[in-house]
Amino acid sequence: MHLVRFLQIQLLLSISHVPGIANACAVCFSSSEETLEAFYVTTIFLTLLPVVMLFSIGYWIYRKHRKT
Amino acid sequence: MLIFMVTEAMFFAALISAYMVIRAGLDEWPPWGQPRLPVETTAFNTLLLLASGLLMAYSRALLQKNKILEGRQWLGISILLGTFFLISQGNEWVQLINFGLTISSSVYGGLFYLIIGAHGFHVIGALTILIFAWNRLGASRNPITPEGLFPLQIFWYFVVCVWPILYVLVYLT
Repeated sequence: MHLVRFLQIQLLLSISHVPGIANACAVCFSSSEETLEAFYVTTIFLTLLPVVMLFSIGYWIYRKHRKT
Repeated sequence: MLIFMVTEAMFFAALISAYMVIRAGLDEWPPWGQPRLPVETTAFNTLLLLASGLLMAYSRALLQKNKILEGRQWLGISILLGTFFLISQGNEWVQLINFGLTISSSVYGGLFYLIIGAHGFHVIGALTILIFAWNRLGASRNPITPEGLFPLQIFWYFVVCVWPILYVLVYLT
């Protein structure tokens, strides 16, 4: 059992030292600075958009409730 | 309706994000040998669509004042402008296909038809339900009320508002 666990850890460590395998990732088609920046911008955009929309709807409902 | 609008916004946000990421990974944009997009014609179409949105708001204001006939008239003009936008965009697509820009010609063509096509389908859907609603507005039997029309108008505002973003992103930058 210990040997199996040891081998599993060894395998994980070996893989982590072979970054070439990461090229199999479907979205890692480019390693340019522009792509990295685009990933950051779109991640922020997609994270904030639902928050902003839900906050706006919540505020609109609050305003409507206060008026009535 | 609000939940639907949020999901629609996220759908277009995902398309915009995919466009930005794919585009950033390519050195040349548009790719060599691919036709350029008709910026001026589409700018005119954009103005038509924005005018359609404004007329929709004006017709809503009239309908709220219970001026059903006038509101219906301006709603009809708004729908006509939207239809003209759709026809003009369709004509643009035919020309682009003739010039060799197809969905499989390059990633440029693929993204163009995916994003602009998704918007086009929304325009078709919105116009179809608006024409149906226009027909029922002020009808003697089972008429649609101005309040009943409101969710459809919100959908049209969404379709109108998302277009300038797509235009700047796909056509201008």
